[in-house]
Amino acid sequence: MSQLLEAIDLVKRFPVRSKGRKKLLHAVDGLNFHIDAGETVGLVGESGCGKSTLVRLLTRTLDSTSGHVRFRGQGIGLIAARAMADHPLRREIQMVFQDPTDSLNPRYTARQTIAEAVHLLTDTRGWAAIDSAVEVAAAQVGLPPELLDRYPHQLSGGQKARVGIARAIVVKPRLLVLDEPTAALDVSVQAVILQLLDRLKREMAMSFLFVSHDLNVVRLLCDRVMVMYLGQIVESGPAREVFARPLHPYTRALIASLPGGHGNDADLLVGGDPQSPIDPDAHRCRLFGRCPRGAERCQTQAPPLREISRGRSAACHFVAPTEREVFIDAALTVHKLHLPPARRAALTTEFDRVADMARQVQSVRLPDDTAPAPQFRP
Amino acid sequence: MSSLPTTATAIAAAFAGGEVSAREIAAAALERIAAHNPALNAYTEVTAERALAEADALDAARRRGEAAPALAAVPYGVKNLFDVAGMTTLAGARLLAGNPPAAADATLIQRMHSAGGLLTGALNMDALAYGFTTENTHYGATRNPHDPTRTAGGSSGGSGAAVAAGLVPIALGSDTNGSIRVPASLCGVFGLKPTYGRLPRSGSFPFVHGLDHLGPLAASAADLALAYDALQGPDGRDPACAQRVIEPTTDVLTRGLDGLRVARLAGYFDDQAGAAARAASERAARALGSLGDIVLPEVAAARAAAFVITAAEGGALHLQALRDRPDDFEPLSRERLLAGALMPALWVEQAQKLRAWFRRRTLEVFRDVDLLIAPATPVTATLLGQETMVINGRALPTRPSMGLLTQPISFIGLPVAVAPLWPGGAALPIGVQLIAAPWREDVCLRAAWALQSAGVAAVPPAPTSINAR
Amino acid sequence: MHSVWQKRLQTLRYVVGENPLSLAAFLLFAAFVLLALVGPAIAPFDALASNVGAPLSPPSLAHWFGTDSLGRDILSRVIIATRLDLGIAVAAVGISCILGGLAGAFAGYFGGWTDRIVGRLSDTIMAFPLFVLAMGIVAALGNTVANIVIATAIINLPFYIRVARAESGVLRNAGFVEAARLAGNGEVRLLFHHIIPNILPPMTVQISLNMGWAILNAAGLSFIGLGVRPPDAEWGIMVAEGAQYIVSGEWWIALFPGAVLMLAVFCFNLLGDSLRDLVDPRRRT
Repeated sequence: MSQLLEAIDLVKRFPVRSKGRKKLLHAVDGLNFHIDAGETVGLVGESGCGKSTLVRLLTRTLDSTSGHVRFRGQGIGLIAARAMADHPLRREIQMVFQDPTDSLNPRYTARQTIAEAVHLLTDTRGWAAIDSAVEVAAAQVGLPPELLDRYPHQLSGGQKARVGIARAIVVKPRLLVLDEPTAALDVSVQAVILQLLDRLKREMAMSFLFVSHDLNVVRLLCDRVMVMYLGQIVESGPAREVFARPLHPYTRALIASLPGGHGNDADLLVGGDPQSPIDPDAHRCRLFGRCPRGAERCQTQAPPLREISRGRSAACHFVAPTEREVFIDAALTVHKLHLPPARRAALTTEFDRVADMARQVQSVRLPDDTAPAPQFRP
Repeated sequence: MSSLPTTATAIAAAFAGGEVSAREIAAAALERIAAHNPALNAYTEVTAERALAEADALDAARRRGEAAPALAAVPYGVKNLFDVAGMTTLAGARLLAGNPPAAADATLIQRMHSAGGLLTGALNMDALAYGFTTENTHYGATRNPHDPTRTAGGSSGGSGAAVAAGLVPIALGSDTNGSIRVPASLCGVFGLKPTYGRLPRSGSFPFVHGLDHLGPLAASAADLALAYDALQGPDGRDPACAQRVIEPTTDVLTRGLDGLRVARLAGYFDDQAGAAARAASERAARALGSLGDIVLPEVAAARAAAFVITAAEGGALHLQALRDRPDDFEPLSRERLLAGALMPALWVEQAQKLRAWFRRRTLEVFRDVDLLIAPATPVTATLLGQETMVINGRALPTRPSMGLLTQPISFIGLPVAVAPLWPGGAALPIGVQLIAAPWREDVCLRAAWALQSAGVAAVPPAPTSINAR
Repeated sequence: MHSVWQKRLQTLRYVVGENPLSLAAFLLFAAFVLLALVGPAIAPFDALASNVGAPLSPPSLAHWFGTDSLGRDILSRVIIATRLDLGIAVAAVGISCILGGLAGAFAGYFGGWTDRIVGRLSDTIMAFPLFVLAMGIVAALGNTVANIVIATAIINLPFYIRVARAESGVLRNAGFVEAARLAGNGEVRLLFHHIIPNILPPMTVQISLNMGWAILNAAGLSFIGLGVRPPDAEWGIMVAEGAQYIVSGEWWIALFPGAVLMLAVFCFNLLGDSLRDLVDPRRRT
């Protein structure tokens, strides 16, 4: 059982009052996924897709409406969020917050912030031992020890970010959730912090859940990526593959909108308001209306997240079976060919046609002594 | 001025008899072309100067008392995948438009020239010969002379249209999976796809080396034989060309079906044929005294194997250009070629094995029959731009399906002549394939001539406006 | 090495340096504190002793503030009264602040029923004017200084409740609170270690503003006879005693205690403003 964290049919709905009637906002709508030990998983989605809610469900600062969260096989979804602080599993799942300034108590020095976690979550006792643990963590995140006795307002953005990371890793959690850890930082600092995270990932035997709207960051750091849209996971798979060959139209659109021209303009979402997460239609794909591919079927049947090939899943009616796709992609790579999506789709159609013909040829049982004539003579 | 002779046989005879000058014939042909090509789009390039020069040379030679060659003063056109000295060989593709002009004529053109033919120009085709309808986005579609809203077939659509419209009595085309036979069928003219390896392909743009044939189209069986005889002969520059002696056919035409055993192909060739096609096939069978129906084994698989080999070799041929200049390809065929280039080699091997087997099984049939009959196309000419057609209740994509009946036969290189029929007095023609054993083009041509003599197969005179002179 | 106090001292120096009034307020505050602490030692006369001078004698060299109707030295009495007045104010404000602060913090953090109950309580208290409440408590529990302190404390509760509740309601959603939860803080520990320390600064401002008002309240109550009673020296009582003599021309009996009272209130108000400057800019960013 190497699955560190498992989410099963995880649902979180918030009651909202709209036009005087009670409705439900489906923030997280039936998620199923897992994180293995030692894996770095990226969670990508635009703001409002429910990733912040999901993060809080996983770190157990929020209670789910229904569904299960299992950590190392043990159900933790039933532990009330309020009771989680005292639970022995609290130290196993830690989080690095988006805004380093906001997540530090302004009246605590860096040392106090980090030490508190040690004091509350580990068995380390005594000033000396705790201080030593704090200093080790500071060293791991590249925070000079002289900064430990400073207050947050005396630290730079990057330094505060390091404090936040140190506080999270000092208790040696098995799962570290990073909620847009560089979004609030200057561009120059982002790179440095990302390098730090990359190093930590390699040095510590931790699983990371990296939540971000920035695809490039996720691609660099993550082994696997999950793409979220309006409370649902629409695609998941190995990071490199998902970026090289996105299956879901939303993923395609995200990649197409990246500067650098990796995608095709035909993949961009067509104009239209996103569907509301309040009382959504269960029989309709959530992307319908913005999807460049939308068809009749998308309106009558919500596509389930299904496994397309080993480790690759997508929730779309128009995802092609993958063995053939993998073969075609491999062949294209071998011949150093790169096709825009429209042609790539046409190629699949033609390839299917040839494959059908080949199948017909294969269906004829030939005598064993039949040899192909090298040079045909009629 | 009495009207000039229109058939190749008549023109050659008239010239030899001193009744007409080559120049007159050339000028008349060029005038017809100028008048009617804009509507037909059969020609992509008219070589007026050359035709006239060749005509003048013939006239001069005659004045000198030299004997007139077999096709003297016969104007003809060639599919634009043939090398013509001084012209860029287009093969219907924008891709090749930037190439330097050909240094020399293709071998078959040299032979036509030696036979006294007057080259009037290059004829339109499906880009890179990959198509059955000559709907060429770059050079325009060629229209069917019998109905300008319909295709002329392909990939030698220009050849079929030029002959059917009476612009020239003879045209040369190529046939890999049916590209002579389909336009012959849809335009209602005679065509000949000789045995694989009979006519040399040197000096022409290839498609699939293992399946490419070159051959003539004509407005009568006699003209067809005349042209074929002028074209025969080995050529070491085409490695697939067999070293066979010239076996003239014009003299044996009139033997008709004397002693020939004829059978009609059923099974696949009925399943994939619409009502008009089946009617034509049955009519021809009756006229030729068919002994009965024969079913060949695994014809569908054979057709599939031809498809696979075509895609693989065609794709491999063009892979570099597919990578470097994708926009210069027809969108319809581009991804098909690419898919062909990418397919696993195993599929091609299996297709080649099937080919060897299918050939062996079919040749066994020729122990008992000399001629097989089948329709040339499933339907008569379809509308330009038509995407699907319905055959026996099944909807099929128009373009690839037009060659369903020709593909299995050319797959094993058998010689085939096409004779045009007009079943039930229909407005549109449909051809039948007259299939013989390897190297027995004489049998095909005799059968074609027999059908024409019996009035079963006919090429109606072109509308009077065309032949007004 | 920076400590909180060193930093605060630095800022103090800066704030004081910027505004001369702040300087004045601080000095005055220091003076009052000093008086409260060492008053009895430096008073020239015994504040309760009568006839240390001629009754109703105007200010003179011997008696800077003059004497009252019982011949007591007004200066000494004013000095002694500082301790009492400040003491009442500090006690009342202290109780108010602690109880109100805690109630508000709990109400703001937990919300729900806690919030509703505390809110209703606060509203009820605010409905009562001070004097009515004071009289009610005195009537119920007896006329002592302690009960006055209680009355004043109660009347001030809503202010502290309001500030604490608002601040803790905001902080409830602060990032560091969530981070503290992840660090293993239970709800109560969160309140005491993270929320409350961070609502202290705005409460501090409220405290100093409140002090001025509390002093005034104490004086006002004793003016109408509730709380402090003769012969104890307290600014309010002294003003009350002196009020009857103003018409007859003995102005010093009421004036000096009144002036000092005014000065004290003024000083605390100014102090409150300065503290706000001290506390606000950094905490509010």
